[in-house]
Amino acid sequence: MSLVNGWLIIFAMISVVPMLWLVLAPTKTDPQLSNNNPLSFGNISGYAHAWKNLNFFDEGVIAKWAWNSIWYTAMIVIIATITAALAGFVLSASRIRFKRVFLISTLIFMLVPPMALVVPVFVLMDKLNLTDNPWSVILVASLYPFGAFLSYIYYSTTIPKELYESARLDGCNDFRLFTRIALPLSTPLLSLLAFFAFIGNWGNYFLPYILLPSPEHYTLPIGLGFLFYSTPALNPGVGATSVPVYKPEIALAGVLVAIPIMLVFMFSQKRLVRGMLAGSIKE
Amino acid sequence: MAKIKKAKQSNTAMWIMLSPYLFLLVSLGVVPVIMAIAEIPTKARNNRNGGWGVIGKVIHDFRLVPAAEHMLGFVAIFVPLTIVFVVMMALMLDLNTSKWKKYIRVAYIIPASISGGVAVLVWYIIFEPHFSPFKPFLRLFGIKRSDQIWQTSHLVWIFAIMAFFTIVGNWILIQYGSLQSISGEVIEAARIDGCSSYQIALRIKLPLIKKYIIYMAVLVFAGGLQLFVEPQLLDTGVFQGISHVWSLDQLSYDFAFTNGEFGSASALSILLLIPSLIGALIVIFKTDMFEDEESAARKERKQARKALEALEAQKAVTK
Amino acid sequence: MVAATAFAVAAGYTVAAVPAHAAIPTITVWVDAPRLPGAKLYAQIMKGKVNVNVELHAQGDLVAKVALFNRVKKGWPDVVFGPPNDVSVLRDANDAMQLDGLASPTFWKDIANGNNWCKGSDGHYYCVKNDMAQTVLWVNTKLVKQFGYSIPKTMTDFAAIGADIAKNHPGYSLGALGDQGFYAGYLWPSQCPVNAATSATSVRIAPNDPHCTRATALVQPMLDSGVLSPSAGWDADFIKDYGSTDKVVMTIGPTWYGDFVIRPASSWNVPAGEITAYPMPKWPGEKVAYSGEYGGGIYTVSPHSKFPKEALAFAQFMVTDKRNIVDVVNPDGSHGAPTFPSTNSGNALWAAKTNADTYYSPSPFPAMLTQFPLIYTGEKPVSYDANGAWSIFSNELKKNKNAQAALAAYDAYTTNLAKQLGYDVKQN
Repeated sequence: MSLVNGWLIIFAMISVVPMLWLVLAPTKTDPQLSNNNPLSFGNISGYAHAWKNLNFFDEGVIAKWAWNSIWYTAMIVIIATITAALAGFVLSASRIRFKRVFLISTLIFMLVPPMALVVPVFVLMDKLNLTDNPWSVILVASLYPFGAFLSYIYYSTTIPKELYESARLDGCNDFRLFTRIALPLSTPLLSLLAFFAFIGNWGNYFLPYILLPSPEHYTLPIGLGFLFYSTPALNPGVGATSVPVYKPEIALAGVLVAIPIMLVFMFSQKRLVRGMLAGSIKE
Repeated sequence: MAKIKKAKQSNTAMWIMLSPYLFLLVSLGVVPVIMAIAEIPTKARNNRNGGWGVIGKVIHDFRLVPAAEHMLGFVAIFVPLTIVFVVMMALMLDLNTSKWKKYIRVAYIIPASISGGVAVLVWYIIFEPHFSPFKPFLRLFGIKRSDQIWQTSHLVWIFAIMAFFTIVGNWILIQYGSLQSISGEVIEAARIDGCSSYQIALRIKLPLIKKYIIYMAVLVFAGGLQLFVEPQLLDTGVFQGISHVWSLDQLSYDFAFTNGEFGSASALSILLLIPSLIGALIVIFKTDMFEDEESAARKERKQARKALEALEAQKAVTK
Repeated sequence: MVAATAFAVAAGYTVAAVPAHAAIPTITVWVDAPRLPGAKLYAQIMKGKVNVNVELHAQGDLVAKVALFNRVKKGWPDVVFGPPNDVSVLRDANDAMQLDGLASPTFWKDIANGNNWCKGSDGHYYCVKNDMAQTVLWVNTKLVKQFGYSIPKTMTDFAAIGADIAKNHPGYSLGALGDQGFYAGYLWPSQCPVNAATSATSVRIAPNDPHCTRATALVQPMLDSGVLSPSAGWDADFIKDYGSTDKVVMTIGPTWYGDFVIRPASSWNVPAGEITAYPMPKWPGEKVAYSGEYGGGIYTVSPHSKFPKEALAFAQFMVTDKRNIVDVVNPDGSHGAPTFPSTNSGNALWAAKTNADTYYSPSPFPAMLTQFPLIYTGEKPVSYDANGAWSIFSNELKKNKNAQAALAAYDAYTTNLAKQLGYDVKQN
């Protein structure tokens, strides 16, 4: 038993070290990163200094990237969660046709490679005049088959069919079925859906990169990649430039991408444990 | 008469509630897939007269086989490693519950926030003997120079490790969660019968979450096949040319965006879909996750009973 | 109407014969981070005459986005800064127009030395070179004096120094061959046909040509003895072993090597006063000491542009105007263009800046100027990614330490890439 516990602790420590490095990196200067202990603490003013340097890049576009990340993800989470929750409810509570088809489609569409869809989506968005418009990304990313599936499982296991039947006999129409029966019980589901929608989209790189050619529309992950090959931070041969963005600055950009996800994880991990695949728990 | 009318009405409301999702599914899921398939035979530089022969051209491209080999190697390492490790860790976490286990779980999901570009940065540091926080560990293996690690032949392992650490924490928690759904009675009954914690873990808990493991395996596998961001950023921003068309997805990207050969790109990505679809079919037909809820619960109880009976039978034999 | 005209004349405005709502030309310019200050300055200068939208993009992003623009038939930027091979890729994608008629003959004369790369096989210009990255011989005068070497005038002398270092001063280096180092510094000046394109569909890739084998034969002993490294000059390994310990006696490198590899604190950090540049050594039997080129971006103008003349005017500003070459303020506090300009007038302005730089002793500019017209013109733009493929060369080199075998591996790969794009490849 203690062997097991020991291993659990060791793996926990291994898991934490990379993030620790990342958070400590902006406190050091670039030479310090090479020469000092990787997990040493530099100076808290390092963060301010690194932020100032990052802002030299295209006159502070990084703040725009951060704001874009925030509002695109917020919109996606809201739209995806609502549409998926409703879809799952319909699949579990209704007697519409093609139910199994829709259910299976949630799995299928999760497997389609984004690469296959990127050019058709780009062409579609062009026809809708949404090129280089953040709403193109928001709409595409709001398709949430995994969420629909989760929602279906949740409602199926939480609400017995008999409840719907008796409510219908009492004269409830289907909208009321949702608002009176399902919605009050939906808090765990909605937070779970929001959770997965957030972590799936905050770090998303490929889709926004293709749909949004202008740097002012980039999100933080794309911006981070952009910094990789536009600055001498990691490869001077690629980005020989007079912008003072080096490893501490890149690490700071990385912190901006990673910390929100980490915080969301830490605050929501209880809900994950409550079992999403297996429905709600009778503890 | 009145009953039929009511049935029709209620379906309308349901369709309306389904419609936002349906709208997104059709316009941004189904339609693009159809367009992607239709894109394949379009005219391009390497397919001057158009036609489906471009699929053959893609298959014979000299970079396809190496990329496919890379992906096979990557998936062969990454998927089993992840599945086995996740299940093992989830079972270990579940062996006995203590307060501090809660904090351990939090630690496991921290690496999951490091993905994409951040992962490239962090793993570049971890595998760089001059900067790495794991310096002593690397030195144990005799690694003192960066080009001992950063070679094209090692990339399969490097990307597998990167991908592993990114998703393992999340799935540990998810499978731990599915373990929580096992009814306490079954566990109690086994314990009363004298089963050790290990036996309970392997003989009872494991079979009961089998379908969730299969679901996870398919998703991990499908996700792994689409490896793109990490090799792409490593190639453009860190070690130029080290992983240029290393993964199949990168090759597809190259077709589309270096040469404008969208038909080839589409063909390749759709070909990539096939293994994932096969996995999906396994999940659909070999598990009950896409069936009615009641029959699923019935199957589960049947399985638990069978496992218990098998254990009893074994005990009877050894007695 | 009459009153308005009178007022306009009185106020000093010229009255144009166009309707009042005619817009001034608008162009969209894509540049990368080092060119951004100059581009923004140009936008400011042209306010009221031309609307200049400046967008920051990475050099490698253009080709991908043009593919999409071509697909939906809109959205092309008017003038773009990109890597050298872009002129070939964009011509294939029908997005690089012929520029001869868009600027005055004076300008074309000014850039005649620097714009050979941009001349198509039909003799017309399809791009404007922004800066030149010709290779020169960077020398550490302190080490050279310490070891008693003389500046090599031929590659044979250079190799002799390499042999001497191996014998008498082990641990010192003559540079790094990784990335495009071997190509630009040795193969190209030796006239080895690596990407010797003769047209948009025909290229000569011949690793066994004597010009190639003499280069690989020359570096092989130095690779064996460790005097030349298969890493790139900025790899952490090379920096630790030779760069930051000030152990590079001399090296063949491009004009930007001094400012971006030798000097920066996070790179080699060689102390001031030790570094200068000399002209390239000559290969045996050659009358001219050729250079290769290691980069040097270009401007292309899109044929879809509505204002191509204004678009090209932006490029002209960047390569000739004092305000960009000398004055513009960069984010790190430095002034002016970071690299050797491509026009005679431009680099004359840049000379003063470099000559006054006390880091170098003496100024490397004369050597750069000498090599400026001597970039061998046999290497041409190609549409496949020849430059990214050099990692295959480095990987092979690190594995087998055999330069000719590594070159053959590189050439085999680029041959496949070329054939796949429809090139006719001559391998002899």
